[in-house]
Amino acid sequence: MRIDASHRPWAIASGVLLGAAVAVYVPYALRPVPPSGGSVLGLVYGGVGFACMVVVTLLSVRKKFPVWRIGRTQTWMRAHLWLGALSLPLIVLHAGSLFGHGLTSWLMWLFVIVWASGLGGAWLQHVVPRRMLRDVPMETIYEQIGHVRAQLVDEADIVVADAAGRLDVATAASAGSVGASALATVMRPVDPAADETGAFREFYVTEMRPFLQNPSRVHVLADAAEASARFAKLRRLVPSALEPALADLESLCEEERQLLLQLRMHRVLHGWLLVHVPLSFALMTLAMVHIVMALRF
Amino acid sequence: MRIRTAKQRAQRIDLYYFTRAYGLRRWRRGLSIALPVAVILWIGGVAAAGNRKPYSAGPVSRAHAFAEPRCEMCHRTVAAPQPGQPVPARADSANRLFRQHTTDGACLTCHEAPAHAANQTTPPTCATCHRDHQGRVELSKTDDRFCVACHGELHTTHGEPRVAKAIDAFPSRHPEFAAVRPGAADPGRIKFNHAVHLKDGLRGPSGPETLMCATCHRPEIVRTVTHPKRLPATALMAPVSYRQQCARCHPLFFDERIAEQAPHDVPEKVRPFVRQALAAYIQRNPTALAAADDVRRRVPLNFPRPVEPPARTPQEWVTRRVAFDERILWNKTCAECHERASTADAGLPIYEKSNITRQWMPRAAFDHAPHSMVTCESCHAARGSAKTSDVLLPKQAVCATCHAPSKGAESRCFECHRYHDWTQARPVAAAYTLREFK
Amino acid sequence: MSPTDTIELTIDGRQVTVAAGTSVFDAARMNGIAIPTLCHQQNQTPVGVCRVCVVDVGARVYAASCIRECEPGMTVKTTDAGVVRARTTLIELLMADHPAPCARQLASGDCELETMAKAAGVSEPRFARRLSPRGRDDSSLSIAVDHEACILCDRCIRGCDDVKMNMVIGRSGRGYTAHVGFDLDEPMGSSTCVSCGECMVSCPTGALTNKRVIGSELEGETLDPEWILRLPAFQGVSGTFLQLNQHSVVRRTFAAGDVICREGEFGSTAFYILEGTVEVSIHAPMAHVQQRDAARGWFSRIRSTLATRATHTREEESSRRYIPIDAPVDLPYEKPLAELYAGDLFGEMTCMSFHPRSATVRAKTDVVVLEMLRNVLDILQKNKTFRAELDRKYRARALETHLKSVPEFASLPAEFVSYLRDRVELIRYSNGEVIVRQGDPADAFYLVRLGFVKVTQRHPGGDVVLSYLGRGSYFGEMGLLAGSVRTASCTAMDHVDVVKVSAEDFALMLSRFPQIRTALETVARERAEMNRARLTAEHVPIADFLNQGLMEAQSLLLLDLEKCTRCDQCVRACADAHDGVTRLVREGLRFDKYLVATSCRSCRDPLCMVGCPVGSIRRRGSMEIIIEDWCVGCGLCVRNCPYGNLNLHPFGDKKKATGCDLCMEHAEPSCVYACPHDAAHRVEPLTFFGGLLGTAQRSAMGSTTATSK
Repeated sequence: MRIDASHRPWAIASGVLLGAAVAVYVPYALRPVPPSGGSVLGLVYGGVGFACMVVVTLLSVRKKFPVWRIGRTQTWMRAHLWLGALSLPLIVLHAGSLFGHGLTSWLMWLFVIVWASGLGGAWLQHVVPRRMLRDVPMETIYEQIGHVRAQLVDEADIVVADAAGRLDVATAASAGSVGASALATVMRPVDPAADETGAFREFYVTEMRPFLQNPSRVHVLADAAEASARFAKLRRLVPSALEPALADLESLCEEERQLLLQLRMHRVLHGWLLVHVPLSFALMTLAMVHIVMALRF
Repeated sequence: MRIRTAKQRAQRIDLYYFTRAYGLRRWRRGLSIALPVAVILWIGGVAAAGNRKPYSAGPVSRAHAFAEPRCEMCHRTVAAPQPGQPVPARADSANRLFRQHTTDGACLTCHEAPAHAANQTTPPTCATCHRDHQGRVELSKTDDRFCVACHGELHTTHGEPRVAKAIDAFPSRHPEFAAVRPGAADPGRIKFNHAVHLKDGLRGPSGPETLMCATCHRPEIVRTVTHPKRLPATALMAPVSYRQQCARCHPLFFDERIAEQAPHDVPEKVRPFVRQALAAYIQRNPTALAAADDVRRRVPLNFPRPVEPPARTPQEWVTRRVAFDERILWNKTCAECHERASTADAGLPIYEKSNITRQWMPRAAFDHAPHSMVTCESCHAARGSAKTSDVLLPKQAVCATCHAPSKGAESRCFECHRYHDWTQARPVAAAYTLREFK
Repeated sequence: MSPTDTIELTIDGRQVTVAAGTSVFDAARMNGIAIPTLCHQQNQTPVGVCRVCVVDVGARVYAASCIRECEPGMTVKTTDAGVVRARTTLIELLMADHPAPCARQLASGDCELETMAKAAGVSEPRFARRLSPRGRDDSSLSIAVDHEACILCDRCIRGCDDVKMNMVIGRSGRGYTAHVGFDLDEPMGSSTCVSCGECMVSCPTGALTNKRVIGSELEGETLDPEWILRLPAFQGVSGTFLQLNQHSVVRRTFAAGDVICREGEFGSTAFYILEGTVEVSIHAPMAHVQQRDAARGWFSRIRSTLATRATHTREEESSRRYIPIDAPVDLPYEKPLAELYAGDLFGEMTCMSFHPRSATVRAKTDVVVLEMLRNVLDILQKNKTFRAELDRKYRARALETHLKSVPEFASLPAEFVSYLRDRVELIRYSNGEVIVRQGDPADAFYLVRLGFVKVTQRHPGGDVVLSYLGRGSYFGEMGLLAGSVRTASCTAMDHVDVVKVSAEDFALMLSRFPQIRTALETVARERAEMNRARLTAEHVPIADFLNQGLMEAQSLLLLDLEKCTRCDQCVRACADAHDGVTRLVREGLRFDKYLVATSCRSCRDPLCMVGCPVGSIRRRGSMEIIIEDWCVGCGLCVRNCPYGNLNLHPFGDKKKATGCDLCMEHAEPSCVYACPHDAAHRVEPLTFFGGLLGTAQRSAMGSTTATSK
């Protein structure tokens, strides 16, 4: 979510709450008894902080029931961001000191990691979508990239077959059928005497098709400048009638490159969740253990 | 030319793609289940092993380190003993399954903690001031703010407090020591002039000598089996004793004919001794009846007096000599140091009680031993003291030379003061057997 | 000259007597002499274009016999050496431009030109083949056009213009570039051609061939035209026509239990029952598409146990009583089953407009049917006897259900229906005919019996399509209720049959049944409100906006790509709200910084609605398009939607179509509601992009509509 002017009420409310929390903390910290989680105010801070954490965790539950009309998911997301940001200071005020000992110190570490990863993720969500908008005009759905790739390979096959005959046909069909029957559709038989499309077909079979089937960043066609040079070279080798087919192939290569880029960017945009979400569940579990045990002892 | 319409793009997509978790999403889901499960398993394992170390808020103090694995020694609910009742020998926790907080009773199972003052408003719990789980520190070294919590603005349940109402820190907001406040005087009734005695070239019994502080003031020595020369905790100076410190230069001779000195005792005891000594003398030397007195010893000098006829009988001689000697004794010898309070029957003086203060600062614990590297006169201004009423104890500022927050020596309250009134301490009933600590 | 005047002339040495005004060709034909022709066809006005029928009439030049009238004492030589040489050369020249063998020759071996060439021995012309650059035109669904094989005989032109009077085909270009064109030289499929097949039937070569005939013929027993003519339904039909179109009608026999046609299949034929009874039913389940596969994850299973997904229902579904199908009866909603008997015709819409089959027809007893192509059906429908019979059957069997299937008329008592039965008019319109015109005085109420009617309204800037009405819908009541003029124009989009109720009968109905009046007035008020709320079209200069068809849209689902994290929450929410089947795909073209998601755009001109065989896709109000439960899964709407917003989903062993319904039962669509990043918006494009397109000043007026939905 982008944090823009519409977040102002949330930001103000959080700032006020934080200010109030710190203002109450100052006299409490100066008391003879040092601040601790078990004191009354410490419990209040802990309670409010934990309530924030619970609300924040409930976002993942909310997302499982997207249709229930219990508040727009957007509102929940804003709550997640701001209450989440607020929860760390509150818990630090609850603890009185930064890192405790044993369970509490692991808890604090977990919390810091989750909190920091959340901030990092929020920043990523500001930066990466814009990049994707700019750099991946041919983007598709991430989960379907493999599926789409298979279709691209098919499309490329058809482009090549249309332009230069079936790939596995070495000799032409009946030479006398110039002015073919009106039922001829895709395949135009190749005149074996003029195989000017050899370079074209060879390029496709040896370089482009492997790239389309197993795209990787180290392939020569994975670099836009390299690919462009390659195609330029190819253009000089093949008859001009194949120009549209070449343009199509170039466009297919470009799409493949963009899908590669999309893969990477999507993984960046979503990869941090692999840290944030599981650790946050572990954090909540551990926090509940802490609450029980701290109240017990 | 590749023309892509929205329809072509959309129809590339499998409409049920989102029903399957794939790639990152699947990992996220898997980890989100695996991690909390791992946490639960770990907690379960820890619980099954009976290990409560993760829940400890920090290492315990040095003294309690032996009990660190056994949380329930302190974390159990025990009713605090009633005042006047004996400390219960390890009362087990009441039926409270969940809360395992420490209570005073748990501390009191092993420790004695006499009350602070009878008119204390709210006695704090043990844990208020002695906070454990702060690492290997000494629990008895409590922080000043616990003291200041009450003494910063002191209230009592009844009666006025005996100490200043607002004490914050040493030496900034600590009242001057009571003994050396302006107007305080030494309540002792032994006339003594330190300046004279510390002068150079004093006339001693065997020639000129110079006295030093240690000549008269020695620390109390309590010999124990293990430490023959171990000094006691208070390390007070031993009371100055006449026999040991004064008699050498200040003998109690009362008559030139008698070699013995008078006993250093109340006049009621001295008089019979004198009489008896003189009687014994005249009995041994009946010829002394007619001897004249030594001019040198005639008191007062240069005062014409009629010469008295010699005594006729030994009794008269004794009586006459006793009166003479008593006059010297009561008015000179004894009065050299003792103040006469009044005259009792039979002309015997009553002297003031010497009233030498044994412990000048009863509310502070002071030990001379850690201070033995400092000369006596650094703290005690004896050389310039001529009056008995001078209190030669150091003022606060002298102590604060080292005992201030910026100077390095400990300046917290506990260095000198004790919260618990150890004079009321009673022994603690043993609660544990050695097997339980194995 | 009076028609009874006769002329005497000599043809090939024979003396013949013919009526005055007879052409030489006819005179020869009547006397058993066959003169070869290419451009002349008996049912068409001769034009004398090809000159193959030239004969020697003793004049300076040879005469084209098809247009030359007989004169008294004329000597005609039809097989003279010179005539034969002329003819042969002509054919040879024509063959030089002909892609032999052409499609027709390959398929059925009866290309008239090639047959003639073979007979004349000029199959291999001496001249260099020069193929026409006009190429092929495969755009029409039913007729393949091969301009290379066209000999410009104009038979098709005469057939379309004179015989069928569809006025689609004409000549285009001049000289070397002259060719046959459709409308203003458009591809045949995009023209106003109604696929009657007359041109195809008339074409002598393979220039116009029936696509379905190539490679496969109608299965069944071809019939002797004489036999067909004996059937009462075919009384009055031209024998020659039947002769020419022998392959277009066959007799088929089905045993009891055989399936004659299946719902959702595409076809091109109609059936006329000669003997026996058939059962008509719809097998597609009357239910929403649901995703039920067991491959869902365990979490979904737990969730579905705890909180069942709300089944998607709409309250007006229960008010639907009948499902309109392509037969003389309608199927009741609760039990979609009916019977048809001898003399019934079904499959008209499929045959005439190539709509998919609307129901499954199974022979109940042993059944004999006639299966026919469009041209034969067309003839039948023009036949007055047949027409009267069909109408009588309709009045007796289907009119009542039709009337009652209109929810507002559900309470009409039977006696009033009987009163109406013989008073209503059954009128048929052909493609493009205007049924009512905006501004005309309102004088009738119409019920659509067959076909699709387009309702449009004139606005400054052009006509705006308000809706499409299919079988079972009605129109015309607004003008009658208000007692004023028509508020919109209704035009037939293909062959349309309507039931016309006169204004007096309508008024009588309203006065006798006030509850009907109330119901109609409510609907009329709603319709008027919605129509008023539609924005008018306006020319905007952004090419991209137009190219993507965004002008057409009333509601777009936009995903702000600067905020979207591609998390798929919108898709999941949509699926959750619609029984597990998403109506939204996160793919499409971009506009500005938005992705225009593939989800119903609520187009002003809802192309998806045209052609539904069972009328299950309809527009509720003026916005959302919904697909009812009885969709048979033919996929026509899916194909029609230019943006791919409708999809076919497997449902058991069948398929059903689904589309976004804008979640109208909620304040906000589920996808927008569920987006965590404020990236999904449903907007009205002209208002939303007002600044970008320069239409910002319209936003004041447009704000009365739902803008960002």
